[in-house]
Amino acid sequence: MVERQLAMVMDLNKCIGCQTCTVACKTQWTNRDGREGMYWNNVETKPGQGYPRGWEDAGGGFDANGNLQPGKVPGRRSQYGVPWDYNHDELFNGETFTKGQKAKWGPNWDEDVGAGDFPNNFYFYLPRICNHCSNPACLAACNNQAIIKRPQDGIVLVDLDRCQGEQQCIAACPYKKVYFNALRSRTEKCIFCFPRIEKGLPPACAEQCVGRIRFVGFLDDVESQVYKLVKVYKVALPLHPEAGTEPNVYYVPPLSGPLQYDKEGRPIPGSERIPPDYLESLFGPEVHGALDRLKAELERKKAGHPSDMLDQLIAYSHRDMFRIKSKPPGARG
Amino acid sequence: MKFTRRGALRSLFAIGASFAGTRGQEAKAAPSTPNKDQPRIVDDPRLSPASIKGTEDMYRSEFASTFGDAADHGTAFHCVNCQGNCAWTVWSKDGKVTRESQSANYPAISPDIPDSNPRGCNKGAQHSQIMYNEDRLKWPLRRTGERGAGQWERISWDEAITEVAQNIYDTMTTVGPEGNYIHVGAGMLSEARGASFKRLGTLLGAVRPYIASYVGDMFPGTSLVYGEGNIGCTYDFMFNTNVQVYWGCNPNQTRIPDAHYIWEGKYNGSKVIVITPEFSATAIHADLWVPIKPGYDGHLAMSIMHEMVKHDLFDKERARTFTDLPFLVRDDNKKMVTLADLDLKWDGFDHDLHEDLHHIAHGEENAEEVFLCWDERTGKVTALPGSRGAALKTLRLKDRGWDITPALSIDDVGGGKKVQLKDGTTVGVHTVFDELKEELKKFSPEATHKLTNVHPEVVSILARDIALPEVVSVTIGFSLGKHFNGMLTQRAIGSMVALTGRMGPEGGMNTENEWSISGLGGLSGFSGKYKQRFASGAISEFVLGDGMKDAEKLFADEDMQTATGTDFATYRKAIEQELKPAANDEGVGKGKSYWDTVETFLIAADARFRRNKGGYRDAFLKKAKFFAYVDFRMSDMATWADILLPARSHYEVYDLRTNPGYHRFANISQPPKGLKHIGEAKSEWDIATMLVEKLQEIALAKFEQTGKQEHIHIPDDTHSQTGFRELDVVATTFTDNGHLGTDKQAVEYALANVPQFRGETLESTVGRGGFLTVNEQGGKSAPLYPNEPYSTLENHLALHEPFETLSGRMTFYVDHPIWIQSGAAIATAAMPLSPKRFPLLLMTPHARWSIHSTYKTSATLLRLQRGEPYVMISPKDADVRGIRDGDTIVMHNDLAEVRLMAKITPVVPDGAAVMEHGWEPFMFEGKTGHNALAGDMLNLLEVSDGWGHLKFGVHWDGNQHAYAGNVEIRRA
Repeated sequence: MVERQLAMVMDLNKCIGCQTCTVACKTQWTNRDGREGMYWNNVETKPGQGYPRGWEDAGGGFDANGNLQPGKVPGRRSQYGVPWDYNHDELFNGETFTKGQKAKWGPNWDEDVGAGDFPNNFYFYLPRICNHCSNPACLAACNNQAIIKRPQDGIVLVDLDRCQGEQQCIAACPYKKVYFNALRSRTEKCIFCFPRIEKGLPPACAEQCVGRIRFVGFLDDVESQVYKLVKVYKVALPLHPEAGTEPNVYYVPPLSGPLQYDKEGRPIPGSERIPPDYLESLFGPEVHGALDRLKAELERKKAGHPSDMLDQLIAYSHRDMFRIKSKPPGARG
Repeated sequence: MKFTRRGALRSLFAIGASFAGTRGQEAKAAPSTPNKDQPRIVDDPRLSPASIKGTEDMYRSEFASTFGDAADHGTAFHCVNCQGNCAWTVWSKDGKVTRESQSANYPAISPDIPDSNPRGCNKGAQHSQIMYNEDRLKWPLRRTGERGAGQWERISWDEAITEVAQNIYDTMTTVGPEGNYIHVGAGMLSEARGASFKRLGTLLGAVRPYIASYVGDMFPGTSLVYGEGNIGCTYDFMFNTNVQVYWGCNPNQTRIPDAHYIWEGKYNGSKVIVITPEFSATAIHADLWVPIKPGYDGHLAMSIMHEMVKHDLFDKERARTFTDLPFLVRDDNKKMVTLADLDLKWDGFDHDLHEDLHHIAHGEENAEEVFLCWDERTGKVTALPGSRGAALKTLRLKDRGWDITPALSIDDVGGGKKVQLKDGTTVGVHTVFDELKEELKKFSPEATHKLTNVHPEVVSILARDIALPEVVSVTIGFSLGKHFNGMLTQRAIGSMVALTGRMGPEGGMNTENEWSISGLGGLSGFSGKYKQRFASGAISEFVLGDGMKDAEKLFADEDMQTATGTDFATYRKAIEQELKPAANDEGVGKGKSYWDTVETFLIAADARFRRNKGGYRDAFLKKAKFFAYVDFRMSDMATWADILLPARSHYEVYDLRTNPGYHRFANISQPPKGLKHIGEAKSEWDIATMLVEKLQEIALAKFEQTGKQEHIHIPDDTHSQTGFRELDVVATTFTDNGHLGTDKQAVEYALANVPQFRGETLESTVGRGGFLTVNEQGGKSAPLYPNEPYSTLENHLALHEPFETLSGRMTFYVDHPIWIQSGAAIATAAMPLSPKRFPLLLMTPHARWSIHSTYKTSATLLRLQRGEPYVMISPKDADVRGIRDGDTIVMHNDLAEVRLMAKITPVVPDGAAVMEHGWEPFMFEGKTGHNALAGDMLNLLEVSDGWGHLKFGVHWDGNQHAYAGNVEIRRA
């Protein structure tokens, strides 16, 4: 049984879409050994088809009664995109620099597109890692009992010794955050950087996040930001809660962005650039309350009042964003 | 039950089965109180996992082999070609770099301000992935075929150095020092490493152009107003602002390490306003985004000023004290009236006060640079202190001994005023403020609405948000200066902010703060004994690349009329007349120097064929008799060289970087311990040292042969105090007898000699992660407090120190004859230059995915884009041309045709083609890059020189423009 659960909160209002997290993850884990095409961490522009393309329409997860739902394994070329190569060596021969493979999709293909009509269009960035769910569909779906949840921190791992590469986990994951390693005939996924955590280092995506949007801590650590933001202030919500996997990555949903304009070019007071319905489709009905709480605190702060919620989100000290040292539940400090 | 569940699922699990509907719909369909008939999977006791130690250990050992041994880690930064300046730790294993991670160890300056960790970005995070690429230059290469044909032979370092040194020597002895062009380009802006070839060029008297203006990243319009282009704040200042304005910039994309302060500031109660044509990565999080029509930013600034003046949204006392607005201007010829013009015996002049001030000051006075106001208190004309020529160097209007109340408008003292000149005649006068008010009449919010697409209601919001709150910071981006009339835009915005009187702790104008760093002169110079041939960047590149030919092709009379008010030929003539006095250094001090005598080029880290416009590359190659290039990789620029010298890259050298001042830290690179070097690559310092040694050898051999003094002492009576370039001792001079010849020595020199780094050593900086904190002496026009964010201009506000402008104040008025004639004496706005027959304005802003062209060929980064050059167009512009997303298109105008991918996004307004800049030409079919489409024309106002503080130098050198090339596109 899982004794403690590590969790991550990502604040989408601070995400700038720079993908330092993606690159940090890549150099830490996925630049080798058949993982080149994997992005254990990716950042996608929402609305958009994301990575893998159309993952939100690829099934998986549980229904309301806890039954696994059918899902599909995305197409390598059409939905993940091949990790294309280049002819760096041929530059010595006077060749033009060219992509070795024709590409139709990639991990960030629809960057900065979004939806709506200029100048009232909208988009925001959504970084995604494995949610290390409390009710993991990947685990439920595996025929070989090759997926486990570590008791000490709740990190979900694929046991490569037992994995047979059957990919049920990929189909079952509603987030499509498990990947097939064709070189090893195994599936692999984000490991929440447990070897770093064991050495006292936060996950690479979180520690290297330049926007300072990621908090990491144990959900039962009442001093942690994840506890405060998720349990106390309730401004951090799981993505697609309706999939029933109980994610342990939480998002502070995006504020609506700049005011919209009317036909004459006047700003429309109180207008919501990002449709609330769209946010609800991502974060569930709780999103409205979370945004209301966030907006109320912003008003308070503007009026010169203190706000502990916002101070948590501001994150004065980068180092203090990570509380990863395993302590028994209830321990303080 | 538990076991059958899996069995039952297996049948459901048709891999690849289709699944329709979105999550949102599903959520709504789900019952609110689920009646669970299955346990949560983690409640399944069967899940107590078997040991997976094998897998865990595999990942643990992978981590261990990337991390290596912490004691071996190096430190580095990647801003040799960037302004970010971030301290990184370089991980290595067995002498090979594995990855990098931000050091993230910068100290917090205060518990109330977020710290600046973990500075870094997506580009820095992957240098390790490209340093071992197959495009690394490993040994010297000599071209064996046509230039650019890709035929090379490997040669030894000695052969390579001999050939380069011989060419430099031959040029020195035939053409003279001015025949050599030795330059470290914009690809190496770091203080230690970059000083290598600067020192070499200075010692040899070679030509070196100014980087900031040739890359088009100058703020000349800001210099005009403030006397200094690089002003502003550290980004932590944003945290405590009430309003932050980002104008023509996209910090979420181009100031990645600093951007968090903007959004933490927003959480701290600050309002964020973004003014950009496209719905940028920064605009999405803003409170107000103003989608301005590109190129009309100056008009908007004038409109905002119109609103401020009309509704008295400015501080009159500040305007009287800190601006030239009360200065008197002649009605007849628009020249300012100086003390030298005035009849000092005229009884309308406050002679007594002038005498008193002179007495108090004990200083020299230059009456031609002393300006006058009409004093409301005495009703007399009064000479103001504080200007460049004034004996009394203060902006204080009142102190013991004097009390002046300058009239802002001549109407405030009744109007219709005349002054008596030296020749006894009288002339009507008004004030600079009157000039401003008159000019602003053209720019009412209603009048500019059609041009700017900004509604008057928005102008009114902007005026109030900028003028009224306590702390407001107005940041402008480099893109504004890339328009032909962008200098006027920078100046209009600068004037607008100056009108609010904001300085120091109140915020104000923010371009790009720079620290005051002294003591580095000795790295690249010789205490003035030898001078470089410092050339204007914008002009010398324009001339070298035959820019005028392209301009002639691209811009019709009608286009020039719109932008300048005159036809092409007249404008061209005026430009050429201005350029002449400073050609080939004939007119030092008479304008912007440039040389067309250059024939031998030794260049490092400078992607000029990528950067420069139109047909630059062809023109350059035609003029270059010999072209040696230094780089760590086979860049586009490298493919065209005669000799290629392989350099080390960022993790393989010692280096130091301080400016610009987005934060208060200087970063230091030190290679990981035991690093195995790549091929025969050498540092630029090593290369320069080898070159001078060879040069000395060649010269001495020649001298031995001929016995002629001129073969070791090359005459140079303009740029060498000795009258010669002494090649017989050139090596020992260069290395200062062995003290300064390597990258490590250069860093140690800086640490030992820069007072702002006092007390730091290589060990101390590397020990904490590769940085040091610039001490209190780093502030330029404001104190650098240890526990407060930095913001410039506080010394003017608090101590009344004059600005480094002619007026000594924030300057609205320039009475240079060309400026008066051009209608630009007072802040104004002018139309963009764009060839009207092409409908799409090509904009190439700074990139998220590269540092200019550096890392453009990184597979890691390209896979996170479209993988090839692409241009963004609006859905409507795509639709009318039958273009679909991902299509290959041809983008063209009269200068070139370029093939690339179309990306369709509503982020871009109609009528624009937006692409991140920096794509290397060899990434395009036919090696024609996107800048081949961007013509340029010198701007007469930027070229003009010799007025007050508008004299050629680091603050006044115009800009290479990039946004003057309109295009059309079609499906390929």
